[in-house]
Amino acid sequence: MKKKYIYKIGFPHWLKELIEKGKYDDVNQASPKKTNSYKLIHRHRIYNKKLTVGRDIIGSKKLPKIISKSINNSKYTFRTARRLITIERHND
Amino acid sequence: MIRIGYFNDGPLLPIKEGAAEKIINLIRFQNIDNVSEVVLFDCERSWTNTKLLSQEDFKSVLLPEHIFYEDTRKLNALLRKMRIQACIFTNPENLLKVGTKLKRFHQKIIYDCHNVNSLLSKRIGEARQTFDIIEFMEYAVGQIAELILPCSSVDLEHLVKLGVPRKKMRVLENGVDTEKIKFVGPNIEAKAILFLGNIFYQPNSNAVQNIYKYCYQAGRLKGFKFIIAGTAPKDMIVKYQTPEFEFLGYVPDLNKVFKKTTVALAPLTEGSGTRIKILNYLSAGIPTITTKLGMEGLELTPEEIFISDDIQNYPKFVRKIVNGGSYEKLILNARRKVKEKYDWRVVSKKAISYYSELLN
Repeated sequence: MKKKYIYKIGFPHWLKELIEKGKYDDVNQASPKKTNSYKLIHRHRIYNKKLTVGRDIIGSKKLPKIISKSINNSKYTFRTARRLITIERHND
Repeated sequence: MIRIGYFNDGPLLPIKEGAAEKIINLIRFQNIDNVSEVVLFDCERSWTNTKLLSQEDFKSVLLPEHIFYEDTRKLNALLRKMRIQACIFTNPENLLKVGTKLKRFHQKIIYDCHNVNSLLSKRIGEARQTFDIIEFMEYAVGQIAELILPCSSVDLEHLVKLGVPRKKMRVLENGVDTEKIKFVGPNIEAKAILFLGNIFYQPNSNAVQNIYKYCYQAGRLKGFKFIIAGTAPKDMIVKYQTPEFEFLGYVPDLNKVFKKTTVALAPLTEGSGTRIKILNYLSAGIPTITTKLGMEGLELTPEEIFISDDIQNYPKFVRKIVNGGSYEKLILNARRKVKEKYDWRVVSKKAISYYSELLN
């Protein structure tokens, strides 16, 4: 029987481990609220800058839509548009 | 002039992990007037000290999380404005989440591979499902990135086995700042044995426990002091700390520790990538004892470092050094090797040549 799971990509594996072991606190480490600005550090000074929207066209032929591979009887698929990994596992 | 964006979401400054040491030093030394500019794009959290970041000579951009991960249109507009030609990611997760989206805007993607994460996961005994998913992410990164930079030929071969195309890969070594880590040589009178590392990291934690068991507790090095330099979990400090087995925590200036060190150890039995701690020891001219796995990926020979997989032999090596054993040639050879091959200046020039190859 096949079972399908969705794997959401999160923090890097090593960082997750350090958070779990208490080296870094995940609580209150959230980024600033949804602002439209960023900080630029240049020549030892910090500037607040506004972001603008570009007019670039999306779509690169060099980016495959789907990447998949079978590992240990499970099929892993990464859909580049949704940035999610689905895992099809065979449960015997 | 080459312009590169270096993407990071994780603690950087003060440097407390090998990964952060690599990222910061590569950015520092890859900024060369009229040749290359590398800008740090950091997801803004309070893990990195902004004041320390502002003391650096390179340019940094601190982005809110929703821009870093989701609003790629705005991020891409900023990259265009800053004339960034390629984006580097240091872990598969960030590359798949952010790099994939940037590639849709025709950005070139580079993967700076500090570890083969699936191999590390396997070696530290994680569940098969965990290392399988990591292996898949590394495979997917290999299909998306245009350039992949493993830190040794050993890692390159592991990645080839996972299905990462060999033609996309170039070895970019880990390094050490040999001008900052000065050659001091061993302090024989101090009778101090050093282990350096982030002790939250399992391979380092296991190495410390082995040092405690086979070198300190076994009582074969009476009169010696063991120094563990690097952040460590509280429970571990409580369990193992004694006046002769001391945890220093985070050390801002390693030169001060090296001045008081007789011998350095790296008895690692797990891990991946290459051990920056060994490059630091050797740059300081400290006689170093390691395992084969500890020096995996580093082009070192028995003329530069003591090698033994049996940690029970380590007290014998230490006594030999203290009793005037011939280590002078060894530490000079090692210092020469790290200066010629592993200095960040040398590594950074190599990296820039790889970027040029990709962009031209």
